[in-house]
Amino acid sequence: MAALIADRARSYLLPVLVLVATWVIIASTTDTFRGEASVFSVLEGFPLLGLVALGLAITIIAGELDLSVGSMAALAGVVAVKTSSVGLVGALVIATAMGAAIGALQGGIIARLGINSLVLTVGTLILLRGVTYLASDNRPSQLTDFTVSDPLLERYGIFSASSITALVVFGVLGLFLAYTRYGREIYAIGGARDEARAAGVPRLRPMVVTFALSGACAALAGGLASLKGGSAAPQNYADLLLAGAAAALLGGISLYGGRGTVLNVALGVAVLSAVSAGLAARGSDASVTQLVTGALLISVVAIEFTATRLGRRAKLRREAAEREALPPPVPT
Amino acid sequence: MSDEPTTRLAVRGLSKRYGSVQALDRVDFELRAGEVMALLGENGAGKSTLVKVLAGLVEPDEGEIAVDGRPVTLYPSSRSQASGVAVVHQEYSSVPTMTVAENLVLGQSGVSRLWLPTTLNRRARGLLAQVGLEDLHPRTPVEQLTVAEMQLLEIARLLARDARILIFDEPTAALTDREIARVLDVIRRLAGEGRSIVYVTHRLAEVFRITDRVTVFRNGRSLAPRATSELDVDAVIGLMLGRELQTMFPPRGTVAGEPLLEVEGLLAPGLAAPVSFTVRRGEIVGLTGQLGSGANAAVQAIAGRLPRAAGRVVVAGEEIVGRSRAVALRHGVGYCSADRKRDGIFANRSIRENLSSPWLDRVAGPGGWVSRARERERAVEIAQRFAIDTRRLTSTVATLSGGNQQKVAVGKWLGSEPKVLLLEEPTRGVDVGARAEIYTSLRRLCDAGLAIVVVSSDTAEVLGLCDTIATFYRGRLTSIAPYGERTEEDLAREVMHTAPGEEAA
Amino acid sequence: MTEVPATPAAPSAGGARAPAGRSEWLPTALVFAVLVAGVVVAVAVTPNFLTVDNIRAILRNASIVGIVAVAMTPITLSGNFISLGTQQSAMAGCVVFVALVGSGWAPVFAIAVVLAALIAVGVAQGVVVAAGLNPVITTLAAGAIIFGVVADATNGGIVRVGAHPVSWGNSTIAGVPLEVLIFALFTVAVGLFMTRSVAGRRMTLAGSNKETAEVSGISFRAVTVGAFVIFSIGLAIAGVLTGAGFGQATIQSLGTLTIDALAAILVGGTAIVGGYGSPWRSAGGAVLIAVIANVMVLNDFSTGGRLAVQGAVVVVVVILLEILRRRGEVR
Repeated sequence: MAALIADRARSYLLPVLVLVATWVIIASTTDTFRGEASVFSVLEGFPLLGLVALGLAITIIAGELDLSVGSMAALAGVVAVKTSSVGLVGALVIATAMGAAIGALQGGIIARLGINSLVLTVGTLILLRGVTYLASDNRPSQLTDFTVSDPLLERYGIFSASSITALVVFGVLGLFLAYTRYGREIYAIGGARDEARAAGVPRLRPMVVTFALSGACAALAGGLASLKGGSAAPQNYADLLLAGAAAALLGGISLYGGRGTVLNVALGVAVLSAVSAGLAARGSDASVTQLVTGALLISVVAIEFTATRLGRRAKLRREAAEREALPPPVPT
Repeated sequence: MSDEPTTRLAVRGLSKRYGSVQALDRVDFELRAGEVMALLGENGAGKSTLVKVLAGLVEPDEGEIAVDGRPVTLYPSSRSQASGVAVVHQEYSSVPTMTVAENLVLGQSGVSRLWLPTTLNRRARGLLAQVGLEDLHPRTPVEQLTVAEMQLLEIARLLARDARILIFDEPTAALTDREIARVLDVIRRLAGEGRSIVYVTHRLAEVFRITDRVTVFRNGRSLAPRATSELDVDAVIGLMLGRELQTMFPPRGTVAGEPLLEVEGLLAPGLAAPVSFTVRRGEIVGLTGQLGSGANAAVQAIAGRLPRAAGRVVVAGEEIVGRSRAVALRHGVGYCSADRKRDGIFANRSIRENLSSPWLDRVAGPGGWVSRARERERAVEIAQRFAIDTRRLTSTVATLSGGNQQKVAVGKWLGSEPKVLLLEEPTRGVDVGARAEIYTSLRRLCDAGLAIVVVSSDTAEVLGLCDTIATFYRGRLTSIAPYGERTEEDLAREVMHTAPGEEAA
Repeated sequence: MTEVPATPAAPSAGGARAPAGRSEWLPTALVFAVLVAGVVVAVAVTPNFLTVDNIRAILRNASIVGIVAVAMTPITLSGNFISLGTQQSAMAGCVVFVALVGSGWAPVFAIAVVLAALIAVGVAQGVVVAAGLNPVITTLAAGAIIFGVVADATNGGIVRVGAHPVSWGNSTIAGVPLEVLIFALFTVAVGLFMTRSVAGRRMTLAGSNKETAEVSGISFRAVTVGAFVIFSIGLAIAGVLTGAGFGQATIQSLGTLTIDALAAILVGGTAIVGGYGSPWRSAGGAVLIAVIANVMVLNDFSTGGRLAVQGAVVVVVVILLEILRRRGEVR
């Protein structure tokens, strides 16, 4: 049992170390990134980056990739701002439900046709962006009543209302993924699709759930961020795919599917938002953040790749040794 | 209806045809409650088709099936499962990244939607105990299990489904002796609990160790079941082979020239001891053995598909330095694996493109531009030699029958001016007509100066086609001799590793 | 529709079970049928469509996207999916070209530098992808890095050729704009390369079935790196033409290139999983999308409307082709 716990802990070890190191470096070089303020600014990364990374991570766990998350967030932002007259919660619910519905449809098409999710989501990436422009009439939509979003700006110590919302979603989805049949089926199709199918996991359901969750997360993220900012521009959030994927993979979600938990995503998001908070505090450009994000992304993928290769080679060697140990055949 | 009250499964007059192949021909099969029935037969005898019908993966053309006296339809697989039939496959259906406990509920109906570790573990412990895995912690990831443990987990999963008819398809092929004993114990125990077991295997020792009765399949027909205790190894082999001698094999050549392929002290993953043999110009050497015997590994290492750990491979006097497939090809080594869909053909490309794939550079002019005329000419030549319809060269290979696909997969090497051709299971899934054509083409290639190595688990094929035959067992080359020195019975015995008259291991 | 013809031919000699090569030509035919239908509808509803100036404008719009789509097709065909770092690389080429020319370099040398630099970046990505890293993630990350570097170098500002405008920047030859001509030549060149050269044929084979390709002695690494080299050449051409035409560049130049090129490839019917498709179809896809965009501009549609229709066409074509392919396949 102890070995099993150690096994689990190991998957968090590297991201935790990276987080601590990043934190120490940034805190020691940036005056404003200290104490409560630093925790607050990192947590503020969760509503937008965090939720998108979470949705994306679920698709990666399922062995797929949803490229449309940025467009979905932008569309949801416009929808949330446009429907803000029904109240804050209502607008968020409408936007999220829309995201879930579109995502479920995507998942259904992918499962039914048996196509690669990249192919379809490249299409919806464009389509949803276009719909966003149409919905917003090609210009940024403004909140008519700015008081609607005031609760989101409320700050409670290191938390804000929006970061609390995001963390609650992390918690709920964490439990869903870990302890329900529907959640575990996502891991099953990502870990070994043919085996899962042979075991009786249905073709359609896990894929629909996966993309519905990814759509809903991206939509909630876009809704929260746009309402908080008071406006939604149709060209928003195009860079979220990069940042979201980087956060998920940095936290230890495996690109090969079937591995990683919500805690992994949270760690990755914390690292990435610490980095961008630190860079922003030093007055760096958004483009520098992109550069750093890109570099982090490629290194973490390369590290995982190398580790997998080495692991596989070690396994081959072990198997060869086992074969050597076989008794020689009895002479006939 | 059966008059035998203990009959669990009764199959009457079952037939199944694939194209021109009659896989099952009015087959009868009967299984009692609490017995272990061995299902024996050579490759292509119809065993695997029967298993697929019982598993609900294949719909039979005609015939009746009854479980506990009630007529049932087993197709599709959901109906088969509902009737209590379950198959333990060679390929596992466990997800390696998930825990043992999770794998035991994955895809099962009637389980709570909430997967709490405590409830899952409790459930898992009970099932694991039934298959002798009580020491395994339910939260162990499946990827950490040994092959035998995975096999037992697979059985536990079926018990969770309350399967009463369990079909084992060569369950011990990849296991060590100790592990085999463990799996066989569990199978006996399950039979003792009243479940019915169908045991498909090539290992005769196991047949005598755990089965109660034996049903032998021959050319798509079933023989009446016999009690295992009435039989010995010779009798079983006799039952399996007792068929009319086939005339599909071409006469052998008489001349064998200088050595074209020399293998010395070859070691590779899958080989436990160094392998050495020589193939001469105009000679067909057959390597035969069961799954995992090392015959396939040896050929793959020569072809450059598996890394060589040690040893020399010399083709026409030149040693192959380097381990890649491209290097071996440059030395004139053509290679076809047993799995033609996976790495033998480009299904969505045309026949011409498939044929020319290994020798494009040989019909290219300066600057690497392919000469279409020369490509076509060579492709037509190959097509004619292998009896492939030359008018269909532009059709995709996916539109061809299995036999014709195989001709493309084998024939393509001709254009690369090969010296040595390595073939694994060259006639698997190929109908009788195409089979004879492939044999004739191979013999003709040999007469034209090639050296050919055929790996086949079909002893009749090896005996009928090859000049020299080598047997493999557990990663070692166990014997090599000219074809005339052993009968089919001898070969079968060597490959299954049983001494004459031996009854149990 | 998929009725099996009852051919009495000897079963082992022929075994025809489907119309020859239908799954090959059907998607192409479909794309061109849509293209023709699109033009017909466009002409019917748009009075100013069939003028020389408008046709020229369409082809011009299609050219840059078309060149990049054609150049990316070998990556897709060889089984390496797509590049999500397209815009960034082409933009970098554009910025470098403009900056060099602006500082007095002769355009020829500037072109050589751009070409060499982009090929180097492309080969680096190709090697990484060939080693087994996910191509989508790799190109996404590489794009971000390139973008960051260029933004840092230019401080996010505008780079201009200033006193050294490129004389051939907006030239036409026999009334045909330069980029249209280059688009046509490039398509023919890549098209011929893919069908006639050993290297090109091997790329398609590797994308069709990686394992079989390896058994046939085809190196996946060489194929992948080669595809990325072609892609880089296309990106360099696109960057240089854009820079020469506008005489200035920013990090926002060619902003929608990635999406547009992907749309062209998908509408052209090249399957992203590899083995199906051709540069010709991607070129056709680019023209089709330009026609749609043009008609919508002439009919006063907004940016959003254009994007939405473009996206919808992509999604519909992808789904339709997949269904058609499924039917055309005989198992």
